[in-house]
Amino acid sequence: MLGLDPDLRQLVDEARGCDDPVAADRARVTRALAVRLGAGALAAAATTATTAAATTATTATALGGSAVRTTAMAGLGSGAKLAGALVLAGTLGVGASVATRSRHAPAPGREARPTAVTRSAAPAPLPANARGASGLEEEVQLLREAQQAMREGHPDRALALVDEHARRFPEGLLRQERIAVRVLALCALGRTGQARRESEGFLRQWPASPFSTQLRASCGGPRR
Amino acid sequence: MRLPNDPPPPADFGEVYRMHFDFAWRSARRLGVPDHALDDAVQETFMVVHRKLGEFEGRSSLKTWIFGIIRRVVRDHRPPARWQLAPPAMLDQIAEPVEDGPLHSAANAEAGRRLARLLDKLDDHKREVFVLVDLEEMTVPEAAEAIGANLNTVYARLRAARRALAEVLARERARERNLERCSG
Repeated sequence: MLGLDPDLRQLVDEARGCDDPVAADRARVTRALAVRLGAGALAAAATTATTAAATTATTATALGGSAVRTTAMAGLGSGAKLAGALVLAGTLGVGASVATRSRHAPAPGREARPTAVTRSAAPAPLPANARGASGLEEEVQLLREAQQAMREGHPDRALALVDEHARRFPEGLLRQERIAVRVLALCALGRTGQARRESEGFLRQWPASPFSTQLRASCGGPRR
Repeated sequence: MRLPNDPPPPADFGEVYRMHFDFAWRSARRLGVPDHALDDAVQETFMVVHRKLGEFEGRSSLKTWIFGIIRRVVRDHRPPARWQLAPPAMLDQIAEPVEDGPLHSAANAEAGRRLARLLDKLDDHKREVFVLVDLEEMTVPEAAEAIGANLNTVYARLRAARRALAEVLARERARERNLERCSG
């Protein structure tokens, strides 16, 4: 049996760990999977979270903002990270997702996805300081649906959803996410001028945002 | 066949997910799924795991069973149009600015990139055997179980993979030494 060449062995050893996911990867995939599977499947695993992990993740959620959330996740012990991510998934999206779907449950055989029109009859805007974790869940849910609409090639629907987010949460904690998705949706619809104006406003206000690179690279970025 | 050291298969999907997420992620990446498509591939893998977990009878190890799903997901989802075109940047991809993984040095990161480039030079059969045995440190019988091939086939693919990678690496190193000599 041909053994491993020493140079190749050294390379394999040096590269060890390079392909591992980081906590942000786990949290991102877990959230998405939780939405696809519904609340039950992943929520069970969250019971393995330590109380501290659960508290940290939930508190981070209540504070809002992806950087805050992720930083909080990074502070968890390695064994608690995934459990924390699962709690995060449950807190951030699963409950809201299930609740939304049951509210809008269609008759069998009809379109399952709630429409932006249906949603626009929803509650009036809430002041930022009156919202807790549930408000954030709704923000996340709206933007997740917008993102899904983009993935499925429906930028018009994505735009309707982010506009609904803007109406309901004008000072929402996920404003940056909203505008980023909005710019991309405008690009996809060929509304380049508007995308550029909104992108420029974003970059003036948040030049160091994690979204800035993406927006600069989009059709809303500076003319080259 | 369940291996002697394998724990009994967990019946709970959350537990399976927790135990095997990292393995699924690493494997998809090492089998050639580009970074922008990893989320989809791993999600899809666990969607299948969730759907089929009830059918898992514990006759193989859970890890090799999951690898069997990963390799099918990777192959099913690898047409150029889907994997090679980056999707538009969206919320999930751009909302996680903090990395808290192992703090690799630049040298480690370069080793990771080099190894990934080398793996790209193998065909799927050799690649998956090398990934399982030399990177995941499975035994050859476990790898054979994971890919549904017989032992002799797996040994032959492993030998061929090791030889091919060693040759490519030796050529790369020779070229680098040449460049250093010429530029120095």
